[in-house]
Amino acid sequence: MENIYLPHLTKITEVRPETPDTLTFHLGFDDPGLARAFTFRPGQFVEVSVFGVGEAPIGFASGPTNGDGFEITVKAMGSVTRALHRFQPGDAVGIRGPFGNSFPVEEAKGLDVVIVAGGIGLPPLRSLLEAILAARSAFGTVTLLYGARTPVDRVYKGELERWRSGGDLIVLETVDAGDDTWTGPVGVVTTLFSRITLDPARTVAYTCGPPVMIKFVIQDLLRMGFAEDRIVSTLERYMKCGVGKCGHCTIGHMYVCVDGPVFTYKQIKDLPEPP
Amino acid sequence: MASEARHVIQREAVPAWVAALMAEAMVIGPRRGSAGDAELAPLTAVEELDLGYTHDLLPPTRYLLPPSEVLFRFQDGDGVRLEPQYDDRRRIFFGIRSCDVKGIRYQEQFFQRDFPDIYFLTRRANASLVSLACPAPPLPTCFCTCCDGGPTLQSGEGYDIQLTPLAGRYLAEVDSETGERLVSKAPELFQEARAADLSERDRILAGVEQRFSTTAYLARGIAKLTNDAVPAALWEELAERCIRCGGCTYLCPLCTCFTVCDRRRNGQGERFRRWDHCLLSGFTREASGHNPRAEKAQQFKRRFFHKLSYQYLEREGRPGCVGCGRCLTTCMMGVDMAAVLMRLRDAGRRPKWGPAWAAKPKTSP
Amino acid sequence: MQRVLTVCPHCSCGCGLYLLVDRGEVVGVMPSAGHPVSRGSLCLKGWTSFQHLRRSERLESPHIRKNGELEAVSWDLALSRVIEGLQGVRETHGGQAVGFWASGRTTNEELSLLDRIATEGFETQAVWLDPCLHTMDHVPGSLLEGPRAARFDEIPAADLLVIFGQNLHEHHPQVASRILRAMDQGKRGAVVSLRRDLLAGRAILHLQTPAPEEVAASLADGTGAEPTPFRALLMEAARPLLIYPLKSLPLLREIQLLQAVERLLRRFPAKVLLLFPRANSRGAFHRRKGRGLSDMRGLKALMVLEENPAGWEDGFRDLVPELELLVLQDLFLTETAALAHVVLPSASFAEKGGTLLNTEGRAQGLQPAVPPPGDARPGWAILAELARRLGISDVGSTLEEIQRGMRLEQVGAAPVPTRPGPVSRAASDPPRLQHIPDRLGYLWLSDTLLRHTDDWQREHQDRWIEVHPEDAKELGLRPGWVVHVAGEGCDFTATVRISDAVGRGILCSPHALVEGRVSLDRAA
Repeated sequence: MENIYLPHLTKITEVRPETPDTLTFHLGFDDPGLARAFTFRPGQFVEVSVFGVGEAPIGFASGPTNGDGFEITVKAMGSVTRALHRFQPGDAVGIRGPFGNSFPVEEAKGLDVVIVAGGIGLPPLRSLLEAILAARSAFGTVTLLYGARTPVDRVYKGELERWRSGGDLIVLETVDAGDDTWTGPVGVVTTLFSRITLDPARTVAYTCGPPVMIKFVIQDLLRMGFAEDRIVSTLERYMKCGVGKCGHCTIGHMYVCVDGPVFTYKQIKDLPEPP
Repeated sequence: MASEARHVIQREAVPAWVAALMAEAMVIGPRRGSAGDAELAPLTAVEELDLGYTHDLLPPTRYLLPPSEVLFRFQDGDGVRLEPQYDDRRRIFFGIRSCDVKGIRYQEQFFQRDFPDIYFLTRRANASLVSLACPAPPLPTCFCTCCDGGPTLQSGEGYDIQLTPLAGRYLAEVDSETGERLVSKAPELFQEARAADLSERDRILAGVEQRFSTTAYLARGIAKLTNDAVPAALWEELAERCIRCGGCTYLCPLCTCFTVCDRRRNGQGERFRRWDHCLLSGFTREASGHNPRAEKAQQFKRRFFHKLSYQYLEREGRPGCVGCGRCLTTCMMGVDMAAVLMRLRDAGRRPKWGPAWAAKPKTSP
Repeated sequence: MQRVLTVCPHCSCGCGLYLLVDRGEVVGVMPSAGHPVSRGSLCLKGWTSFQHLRRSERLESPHIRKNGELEAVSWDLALSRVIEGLQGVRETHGGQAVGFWASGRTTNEELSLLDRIATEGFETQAVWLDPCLHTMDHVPGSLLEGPRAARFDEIPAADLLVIFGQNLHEHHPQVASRILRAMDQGKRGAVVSLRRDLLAGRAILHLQTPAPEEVAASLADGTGAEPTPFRALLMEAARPLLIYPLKSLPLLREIQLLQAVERLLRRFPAKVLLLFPRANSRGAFHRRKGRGLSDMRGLKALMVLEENPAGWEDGFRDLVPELELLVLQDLFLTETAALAHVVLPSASFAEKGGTLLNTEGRAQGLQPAVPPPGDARPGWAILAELARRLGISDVGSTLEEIQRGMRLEQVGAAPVPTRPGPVSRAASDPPRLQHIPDRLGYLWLSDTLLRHTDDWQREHQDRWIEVHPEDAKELGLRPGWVVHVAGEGCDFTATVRISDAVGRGILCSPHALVEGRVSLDRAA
């Protein structure tokens, strides 16, 4: 019987700063057999261990690759993530997973896709985007709408440029407050809807970000006529075990770590507790 | 089920059988502890065996899922070395009550599902259950009959041997190969059960429900919680009395929640888990400080939703209460399961002064 | 898992609990079902009482401060340093310049040893205890002993329960539970407190006031034109029971209240139940000597046992520069340790034997379940060794020997301290609200053991204040905002909680001890 609480060891191969409080880590497996066998899907997460401090659940930020490890983008928020921020390439990090369900991607084949991300909600959607781009021809129009607090708080600054100029997807960005360098739109991310045309009947919408942003995005999507099961989001809860045993992440009778973290609006609208 | 053999063992022969079992494994049996408390605890001498045992306040599930346990040790060195700590000690639970066997079965299914929990399952695999049926409630707080929690077990419900007290002797129903083996440790002490033994058992158990005094309206509670049909004001009123001690959770044979922590000193340490309870605000507070379940009334309502809703019943296979009565003993403020179910039953009822009041015509302006 | 029966180390209810021990570690606790106080229940403090035992920051060796830093040393070295320091001070300044500060958790055996060290080693009476306990010097023993002093099992028999204080369900849950059950059975409750809490909400009368001592005095003296509803209740009752948690009020006001209670006992056939704060506060009470902080001027050497005066006692830090030797015996490094010259690691309640008196005066024994970590030692062993090194004869080297040598005598009454306590003064603008400390709440939130208890820490992560909804509206405050609370002697940040449990114009907070007018400003 596998021990689901025992982490595997990985090594940090690269650290890239994204914003003043966010770093992207590339993690590789020590054990080549494990490296080859480790597969995951966009939307899933791992429990990242800093031994002596604890664990934090963090979503995959890179698309599925072959034996090359994976990336996580981490904002320093609590004791584990703050400790992780002091790590350097070469340091050992424990991981358990992949856990959770994943973004429905098959269901979007043949349809258009709109991805609405806010702040630190972009990393799991980047995993989704990379999976879509790897099979680009299977999808219709793919649009990314991204809102951050300020230009400095945008993650994946370089990649956003590459995506924008790459021609495979439409990228629109906004910030809550601009600065001297910002020439783009200013306002909440929902203001970007007026700049694109969406056909709700043939589009799947994926959204991640702060809870209040998600609430308004979903409101707007419903108003536009999106079906409840064509709106896909993620829910967050304090987690410990990640495997549906410790009881911390329940919402009603669902365990966010096992039944989620990806949910359609249809699944969450009738939950007995507020998401 | 290996066999459905039924034996009888004389009451005065039981200590000799227990002594034989003690030679093979740790026997967690009925004894009297300090302060006169009834315990199901490791016997150090067969003289400790107390056949007048009532019920242990600590549920025997806590031997399989202890209040705290080390998951693994870690050591800094070249990288880091992890050493998981397993507990494969053999345990024979002797005299465990039906409600607690149901608790073990519930936890077994919970820990087996999706991602099997090796720590619990290792202990469970090394545990044998010799249960003791209740011809009468051992304590006035018992209400297993309201909750499909006892007082006896059917074949397949998890016991290796079920003992039922008859006059001067016990009926011993064997339900597994392990049970067979335990009988064979002292075969000379057992006789075949005869029809008279079985009918005495049937006579004792018929009418057992009338002997229980605490009533709990479980079905009513399940219906109301499933349909979110309990007035918010009732949850507020009940929750206000709760002092968040955690006793109801720690002592419940079906509660399994835990938190995981690391401890480190001088380059080495351990990751351990410890029981946790859902009436603490820290149970759901996120690193950002946001708490989706911040109010005590929400936490209190959610605990009962977990125990009694149809959504969870479907998931877990049975309601989240076996009527063992421990929360009734431990709750200082009277918001235990039976008390809450009583209030739920009455919630939303028409006021006592009845139809005449309700039908009072409106006076015209 | 083995079960070791012992007593909870926290409040003075004295619940019987079992330490659950497996493979040499305390893995949990559970209440004793048959114990007359716990009766199968514990509060959160009791249930989590094992969590501090193996925290990684437990002190495991003696430390001496060298070049500003604490350095681990052997016991021999540390004790020699202590003896040298104490004897040095005695030679230069006299025995009266040596003092000892015990806590409400110090066991009776440790207190007895301390007594001998102070009197035989230094001819001093300077043993300070929970400072509130000097109030007892001028209150008759009839409040604690004799036919009027009630025990917990007398609560159900009372027909009127009068509580001068708040939040009993947090500070003394076993007492609150018995009171609540009595009220459920129809017994009447009357609560005099600043804050409307669980019991006040269930009582038939709640007098919301910051000055319970004035209410008690007016009841006792029959002042006022006609009988108030409260006096009427008291007059109708055949078996009233008065309950007061000690240390809820500042010194002088507490004295006033206790004197009023004593007068009430003369007027009415009432019984009284005084609630000490900590597990052995009552045991410490029986050995009390010395006064408060003001009488500590002139001290040159001080040994503190498992208490953290630098963390919460207002004038303590000013004293420290005068001290040639400050010794702390404790389980964890605290604010006091940061100032100490010598730190001695002591064993926890689960790692030593000893006796405690609960608030009823019930003597109960601690049983060690596991050895202390590293080189930590039980307090009685540390004190016995110190006593021997000081040349005090026949001290005893085992706990049993020490218990045989104990003298349980009381110290007589002494004059009232004349320095006035803090008084609330109306200040001119702009301070807006009257801050009244929840003193018992403060005692528990600043408690060293609880600050190292995982679940307690997780639960009480932020400092908070309760503001009445009308005041919040006027001040423009929203729930969850972080505000800066500043005023006379008050300076802290806290999160706003809106509640009508406290009346208008009042801030009742367990995060600062000074009473006075304060203003609230939103912190950045």
